[in-house]
Amino acid sequence: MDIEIPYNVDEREDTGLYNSKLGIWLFLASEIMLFGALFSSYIILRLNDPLPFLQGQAKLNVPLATLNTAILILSSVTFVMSWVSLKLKDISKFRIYMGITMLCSFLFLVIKYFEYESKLSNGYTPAYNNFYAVYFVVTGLHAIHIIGGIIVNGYLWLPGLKMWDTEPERFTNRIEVAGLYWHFVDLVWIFVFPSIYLL
Amino acid sequence: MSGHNIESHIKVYWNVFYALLAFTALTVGVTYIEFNSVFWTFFVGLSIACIKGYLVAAYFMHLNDETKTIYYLLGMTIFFLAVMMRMPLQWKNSAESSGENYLPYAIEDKATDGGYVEKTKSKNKKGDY
Repeated sequence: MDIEIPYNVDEREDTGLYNSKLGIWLFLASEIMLFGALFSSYIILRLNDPLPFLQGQAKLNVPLATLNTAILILSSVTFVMSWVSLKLKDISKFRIYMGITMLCSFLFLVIKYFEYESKLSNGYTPAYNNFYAVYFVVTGLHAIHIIGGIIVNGYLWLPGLKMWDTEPERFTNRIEVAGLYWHFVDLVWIFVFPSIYLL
Repeated sequence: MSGHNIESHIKVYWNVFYALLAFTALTVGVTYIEFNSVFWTFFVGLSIACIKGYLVAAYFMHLNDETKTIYYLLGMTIFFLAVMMRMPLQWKNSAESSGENYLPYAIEDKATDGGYVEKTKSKNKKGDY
């Protein structure tokens, strides 16, 4: 027996949202609190003893982090363009834009790997001091979010794409929701980059 | 979205992309300016980050054209986030005014040797940070 779940595509009258959009915003609200708690910890640890933070920042690779910022911004615009392609019913452009997003995501992680490798091989582990504890926890949690995004986006790019043939509007909504998550990950990095690397 | 409407949206998305790249370069650039004040260094750096955040949220996440439900939801989140960000500062101020340590666990580690506070300082002295 098929049970049709309401408001997968249509918006509810009371909220003006379809199910998954309300769901993703509730999830993102919890994510704001999660990263907010880490920033709050960062503030108190830095206020307590700023010296390790200033010295630790001097060891970080700012050009690589700047490149990663640009890559993440590019992935955000290509993601939104993939959604626009679906609105224009151009599936081949969707594949290209989503492919670029995936490529950017992997590039970000590769650069992050080299960044971590240079720190860890020189003995700068999370246990070294408060700065490196904050650095690895915040950027590590962000990297885990990137990996989560790659899994979801990869599914929608390849096997999940078959929904386009049967339920194109629902698939477009899925891309919009995945995009909201991806832009949030970009948004977090926009604050992590100056806080950890520059200021 | 109509065809013409989508075309104008595409233009906006790419303009936002270029603006974000420009602001990223500006963020890095201002770190070379000597403000002689921790407050102004953070204020300028985080203000640029806020502008970038606004661009992503307003245009890529379409928050400039969303339903009231999402605005209420985000309003509540921002309120509780502000409370949470304020707490450590309040904690620090009240502890300092009464002469107490506001990070008792860090101090405890330092006292028992092997704590990260002490370890960091000793490494700094050797110059091998």
